[in-house]
Amino acid sequence: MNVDGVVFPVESVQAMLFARAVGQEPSDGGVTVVPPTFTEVRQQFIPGYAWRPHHGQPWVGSGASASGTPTHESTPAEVVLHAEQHFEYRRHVRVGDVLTASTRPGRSWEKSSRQGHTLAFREIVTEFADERGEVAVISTAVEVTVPAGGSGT
Amino acid sequence: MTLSTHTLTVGTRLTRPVVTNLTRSALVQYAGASGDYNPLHTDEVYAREIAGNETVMAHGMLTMGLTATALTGVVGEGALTRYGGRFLGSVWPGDSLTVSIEVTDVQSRDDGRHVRIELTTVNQHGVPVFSGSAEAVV
Repeated sequence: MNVDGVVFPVESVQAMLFARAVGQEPSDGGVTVVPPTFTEVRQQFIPGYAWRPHHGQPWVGSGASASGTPTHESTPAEVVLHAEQHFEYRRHVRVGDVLTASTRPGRSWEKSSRQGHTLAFREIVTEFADERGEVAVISTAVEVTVPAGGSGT
Repeated sequence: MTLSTHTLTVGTRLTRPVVTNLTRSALVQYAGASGDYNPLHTDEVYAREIAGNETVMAHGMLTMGLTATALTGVVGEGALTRYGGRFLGSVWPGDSLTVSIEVTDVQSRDDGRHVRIELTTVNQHGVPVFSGSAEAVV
């Protein structure tokens, strides 16, 4: 999802929850420098984020039935996979920072799978700037779109 | 436990545990922390009946985050300048992961020792699930 200008404060509780989730056991003093992949927390701050349930709205996951959205009951024509992820750290994010995430498209390319399908790759580049406007972290996700019946290799 | 970073020289090879017997609750814990509630990772009914998988699968970013924790244990907190890689295979509840780390370059500069690392995370069958590299100033 390409969203520009998402602002999120780096709060101590959020940092602690994320650190625990990736296998750290923060001391009583909590987290100071956040874990290397912490900027994924940006997803919490994207309005209407597709992979977060929203009260009163249909949700793709199960409830009374295996999926709450009929479009997901049919086989999708293609699948988008998270193929690669890269981070560049210009400085490490700390509790107390307020980050602004700006997302832009990066490179795109195609290659053939072992099965002969065309795999379409694209980069999604997100820069996380601090309150002074200086970029602290650059996150580059590489997505691959796999046609129906194909695999990502 | 952080290794003495002075012992990181070209050719240094280390193996570190990433996670043992990954639980479904750990997937839910990561979903809550990261904000990615994709039911492929959090919803057994959806994963089986709609996605056609045997069970829920771990977020790739959970594997990468757990690997980063093991890596931070080697280079130290706040030392990484780059970290990235490819997701090579699915990770499932019950899996145990281990990361193999190799130091491939060390450059001494004014701000410290710049260390380049190649890494691969494998499951309990030795199958790679994540492979990449990192750079750190130690």
